[in-house]
Amino acid sequence: MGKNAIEIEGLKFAYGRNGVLKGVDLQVPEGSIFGFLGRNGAGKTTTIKLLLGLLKPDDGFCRIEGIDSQKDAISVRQIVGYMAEDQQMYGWMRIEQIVKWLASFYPGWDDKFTNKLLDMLELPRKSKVKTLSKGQNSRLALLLALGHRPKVVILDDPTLGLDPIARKEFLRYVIGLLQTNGVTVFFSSHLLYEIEPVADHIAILDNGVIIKAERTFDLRESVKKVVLSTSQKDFSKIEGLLDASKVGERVALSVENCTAEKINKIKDSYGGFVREIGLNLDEIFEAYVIGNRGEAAKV
Amino acid sequence: MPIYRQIIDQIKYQVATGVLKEGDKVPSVRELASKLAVNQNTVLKVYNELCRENVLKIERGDGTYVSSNKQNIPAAERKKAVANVLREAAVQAVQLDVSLDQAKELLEKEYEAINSAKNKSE
Amino acid sequence: MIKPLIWKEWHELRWKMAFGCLIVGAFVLTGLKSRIFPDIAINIFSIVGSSLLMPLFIAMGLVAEERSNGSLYALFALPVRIKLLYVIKMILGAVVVLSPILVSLILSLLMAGGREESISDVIKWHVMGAHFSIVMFIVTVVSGMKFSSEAKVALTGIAWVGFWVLCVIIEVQMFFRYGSESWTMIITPWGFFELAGSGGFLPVFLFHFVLCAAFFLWGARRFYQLAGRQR
Repeated sequence: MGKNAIEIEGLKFAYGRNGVLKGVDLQVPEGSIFGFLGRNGAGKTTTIKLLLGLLKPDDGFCRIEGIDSQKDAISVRQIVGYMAEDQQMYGWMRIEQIVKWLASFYPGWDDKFTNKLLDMLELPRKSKVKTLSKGQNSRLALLLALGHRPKVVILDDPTLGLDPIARKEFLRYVIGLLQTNGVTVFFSSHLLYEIEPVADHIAILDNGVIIKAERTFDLRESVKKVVLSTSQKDFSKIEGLLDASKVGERVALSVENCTAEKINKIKDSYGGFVREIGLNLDEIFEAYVIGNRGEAAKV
Repeated sequence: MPIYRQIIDQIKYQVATGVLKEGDKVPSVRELASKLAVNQNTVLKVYNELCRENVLKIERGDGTYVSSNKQNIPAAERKKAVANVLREAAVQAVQLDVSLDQAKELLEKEYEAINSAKNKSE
Repeated sequence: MIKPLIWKEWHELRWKMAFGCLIVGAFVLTGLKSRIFPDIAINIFSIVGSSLLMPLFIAMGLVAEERSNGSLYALFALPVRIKLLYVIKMILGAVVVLSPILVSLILSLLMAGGREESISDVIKWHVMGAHFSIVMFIVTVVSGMKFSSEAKVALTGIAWVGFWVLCVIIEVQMFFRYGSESWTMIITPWGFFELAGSGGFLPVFLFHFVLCAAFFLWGARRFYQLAGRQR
């Protein structure tokens, strides 16, 4: 089974009276690339700040490599490589200056590795940070997060503002530099079609709790769309129904844990089976987060 | 289509058209994962499946190669593998009202295309 | 870890320090040399000017600037106690705020010590100026901590000055009406300008010492709260 690099249990947090996290439970296996999904404002960045000990939870705990984020926040930040959303660094420093500056905070900083990274990521040592392009800025932020050889890397929407080519390059670095070295990568993004090839685990944060956490592969295999041509209207009783929508004359049902047995049951109950389709991560996410189920599943 | 399926099809296509020849070494799991910006576990899954289907062969400690022992697979088994894929095509054709003759024509066209690509690369 | 943090703050503050010292220095130099105005006027002008403007100038850049350009959040993510970040910023900020006063003091002593004013008087004015500057600085930084716009921070400082001016007005009214000096004198950081003659330094000084300490601690808490916020 292996150890968990990150463990979150019963995490609750509210900004004033707005409850953002209402009991989050999450385990991130060591060495995995873990995709943390959720709509804007769902609380992804809040969760990350709690993980880094920058916020105090109202209840629950979180641990990184066994270290409690509240009891020993400094140690957590020592072993974690963190790349903030749209990270800005001191524009007046040159790249070699900011690297040296950051190195002084981490006893475990690897100069040789950092030098290699500077070349690999094509970052000009003598340039001032304020002259960097967005792509270079992101690569620099990644380098600064990796320089002390952390075991866990947390990336908060790292590809924000990058063009498609720069995004792919960035993910390439994540795979090549991090997964190759057994580093646990926890990253949040809302470009799901990008997370899908890269993440081996997925968790969806919605309404303050984790509504789904699964291996990407299993999730894709288990959630299917069943298309029916039927005049029936009430689909709320289907077990594992995520979404029921009318598509022209037909009805499309997104169902989780969709085994052959379940499909047969649907066929028997409703008839008019047209076909069964696989869904991509975007569609799966949509079904979980804004799907019509329960009372709303009566089209 | 899931990523791993796409990669499997890509590799099979390359083998069929001779871009990847028998005995050629394919990139390591890490190399391919990095190149495609895809999770290494996915590439591993791809390679494992292709080994099961005897398209690739993993040499311990040496790397992964394009399999060269197709001749060792009994003809019946090879035919069965093709039949499985053709069944799907048949289902589609019947559902979409494509006649047998039209379907045969399409099959011939695709077959020729792959074959001539293969011959060109030899 | 303290050294690199100091280095970074210093690098950002040094130009402001040079600017402040140069302006004040030039003013004092020409003022004292040209002898158009009495020495005491030059001193008061430079001290009051510096104490009003320098703290605003520095306070604006200390937190608000870093917040608006986003680099503050990079600081918070470091494996460093957030309180340490705060203390270093405040100490260096205070040093820079005081530097023009120091320049004025040195120049005044060298050029006009014992001339129209006794040396002890010159020192006294500058000490009061230093007091004023520190109070202004701490109060502005801490009250304006939650603003991400530098302009709003400056306005906060100006608001405090307005409040103190009001106290002085009350004080003057009370004096003329009842012939006694009201308690509001203690509140204003320049309250002892009046009390100085009667040797009433201590209560004013103590009051503001406690005030600054309280603000300083409150500021640490507000700074920590910034760490959790979004941009």
